[in-house]
Amino acid sequence: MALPSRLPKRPSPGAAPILAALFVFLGMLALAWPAAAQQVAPNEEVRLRIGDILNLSLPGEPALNGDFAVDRRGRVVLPEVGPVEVAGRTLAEANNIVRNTLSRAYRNVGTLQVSLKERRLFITVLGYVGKPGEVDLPADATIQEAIGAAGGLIQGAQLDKLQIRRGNRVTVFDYKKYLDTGDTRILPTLQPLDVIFVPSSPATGNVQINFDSRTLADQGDAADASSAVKVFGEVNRAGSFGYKDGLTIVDMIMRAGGVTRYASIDRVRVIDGGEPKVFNLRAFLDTGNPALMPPLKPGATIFVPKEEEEIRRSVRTVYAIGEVNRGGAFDAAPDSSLVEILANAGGPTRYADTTRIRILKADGGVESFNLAAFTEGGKGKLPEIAPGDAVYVPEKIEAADRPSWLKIPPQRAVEVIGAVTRPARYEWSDEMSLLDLLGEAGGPTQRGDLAHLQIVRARGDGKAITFDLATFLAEGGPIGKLPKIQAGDVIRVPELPSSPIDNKGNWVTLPKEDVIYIMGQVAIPGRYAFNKNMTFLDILTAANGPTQTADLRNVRISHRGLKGSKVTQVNLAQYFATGDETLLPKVRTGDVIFIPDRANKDWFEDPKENTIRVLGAVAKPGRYRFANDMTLLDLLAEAGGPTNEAYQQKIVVVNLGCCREQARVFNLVEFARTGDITKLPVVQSGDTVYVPNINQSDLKIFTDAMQNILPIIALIAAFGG
Amino acid sequence: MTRALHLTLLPALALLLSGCESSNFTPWPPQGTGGLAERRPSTDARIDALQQRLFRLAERNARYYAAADFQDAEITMIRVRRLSEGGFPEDCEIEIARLKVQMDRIDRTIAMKTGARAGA
Repeated sequence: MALPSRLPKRPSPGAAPILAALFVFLGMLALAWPAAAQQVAPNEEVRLRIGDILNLSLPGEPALNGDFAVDRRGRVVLPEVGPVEVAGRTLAEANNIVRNTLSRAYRNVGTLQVSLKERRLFITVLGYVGKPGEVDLPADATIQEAIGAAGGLIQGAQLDKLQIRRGNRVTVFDYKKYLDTGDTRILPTLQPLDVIFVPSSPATGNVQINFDSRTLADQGDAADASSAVKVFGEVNRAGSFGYKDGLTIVDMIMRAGGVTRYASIDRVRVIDGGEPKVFNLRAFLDTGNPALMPPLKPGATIFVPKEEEEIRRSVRTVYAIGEVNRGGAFDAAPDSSLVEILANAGGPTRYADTTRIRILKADGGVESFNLAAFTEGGKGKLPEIAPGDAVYVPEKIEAADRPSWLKIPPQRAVEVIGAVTRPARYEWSDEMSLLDLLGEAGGPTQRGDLAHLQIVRARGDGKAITFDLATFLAEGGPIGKLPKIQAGDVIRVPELPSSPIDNKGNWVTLPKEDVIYIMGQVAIPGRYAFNKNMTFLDILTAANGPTQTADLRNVRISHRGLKGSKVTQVNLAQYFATGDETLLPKVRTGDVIFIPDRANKDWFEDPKENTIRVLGAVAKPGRYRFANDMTLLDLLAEAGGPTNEAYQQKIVVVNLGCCREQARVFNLVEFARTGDITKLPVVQSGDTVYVPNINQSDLKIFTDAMQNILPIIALIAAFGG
Repeated sequence: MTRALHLTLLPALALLLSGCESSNFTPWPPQGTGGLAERRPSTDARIDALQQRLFRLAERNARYYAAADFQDAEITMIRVRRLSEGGFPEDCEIEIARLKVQMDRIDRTIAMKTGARAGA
């Protein structure tokens, strides 16, 4: 930057010697300039400004010999007298002011010399620079130097909108243009206290992010939204790009990274001035005809649509329609086969009827082809598909009253199987309930076991859950208590055993959690379906009841599924005698009911504490169970009564009490004669009854002894006689 | 004289020898009693009281509200009566205790099912 200086006065004509001397002087000055680059030539007309450095010289006063800078307020601060305002003054004026001011504190200031030593620029650089703040620059420094002193530009700086603020005036200049051209005239001349502001690019948005240059470049380089050209759609880097004269749509698409492979280049849309135009880039590339390309204006919008969104039609296009996985238009070679077309279309779907594929020829004809037969036997020849042809794969034929089950995909269907009227796959919607579904399936059959409705989940762990719909229907409750059915679930309504006699096959199919076991003296022992709503009598009845020899007093139930073992003994005979429901045990699934045989059992099965032994001269001696309300007479009757050899006058009862044992006799003959029940002895379980033989009577013993002795007596009498 | 002596000694000798022949004779135990004691009035006032309590339970429809327990109590009562008359005092005491427990339970069952106060 050139310092302002007054031009020398125009010399008068004919003053050649003086002019020559002046040239010599200027030549010498030019030679001496590099050495005195920072030394400002004294010039009375130069007006001092902020940043200037004055040199004071006053012999004899060391404090006043040195450099003094004009500060930001236009003053120099002098010893003893303080600040003296000099900015805006000429050097001579400043000399006088300083001298006058110093004269208040110093003597002999007449020799004071004030000279301008150097000029500096105090510039403030703000915005997108590395070190925003004040920089101290040489007097001829440029904006580029100022930015460099402030750390340089950082990423995101908007180069074409730099500002320079001087007082209240703001000047915007295109620093990018300066960088492009090197034309220094573009840059304003700096003055002290100027503020340079580097704005951020609109591409950086409102969020502080550390962008890299590539990211920024990907978003376009437009600075002026009104003139930027917007390119989006199927391009690699959509963005807004600065408009320049002479740029074309192709240039803009290239700046946007080119089109993607999905782009429909046949129908690129250009919106210019509110009027959309279609640009066939393919035709342009095929022909190179520039007339096909609409002119581009500032602010235009270019949209490259997706290929699928367009109807494709070319001299090589064939079509696959109907039940194929990816139908559409395909560019095919002239000798393409049907299989190639179907393969490109993703193949037939599972709903496709491949036996009736139609080829719609471009000339209007229709050919039929059985692909299924071809794949099975290889008969025939694959039809050739010519450009313009269409391959139509029809759906499978379905019944009039019911669509093909294949039409309902698994993620939208629920299967209902088992004992329902119409087991099938049903289309499912989440707003429906389990009851809706069973209703659609015609409801459960008469043999449906609603207490054990099974639901196999398609999601989650896939475990089956069992729901007691019978209880829900009997007791009612909110619909929310019903299991939530989801598409893909399988609902099975199991069937109740149809007959206890021949349903053993069904029993086996029942899970063990749902059955109960009954064994022993029942008509049909086995494994029966059971649930918590059933009772002991239900299962006994299901087994057709106890047999004639069933020991109803000793029914035993083994309760399983407990931490320990537990057996309950039930006197079913007492229940039938009293009707007391408390005698009936509570049975659960898994329990085992055993009804022993009263007649055909091993003798040791009855413990000795529960039986009475009947010995001796009775018709049926043995061990007999005894009820405490019975008497000895009952027992003898059960044992068939005494025999003819029985010594009925001395029937012995041996009692085993808790604390003593004793024997008592019973005279059956006398009892029969008198009926005196007071002579009937006590009999209780654990006792022994013995009916002696007649040979054990006292008289018989005596007569036998006499019969043995009489021969001896007779012999003695004979010898004695 | 000799003949008279013979007529006297020979029967004595015969009896002596017959006694030796039946020297393993064991006497029969005493006559038993109490085998049907429930058919006769009790001789024990305490047992009479128990019998009365059982009657009162029957009047309160124990056969309906606690059929099985009442039947068991009746059988226990029979045992009590027989053991008492049959000469088994220890067994009788045990059965009396069992009978009281059974009647207490019947009492509670009747109270629970009828809403009446137990023992009423």
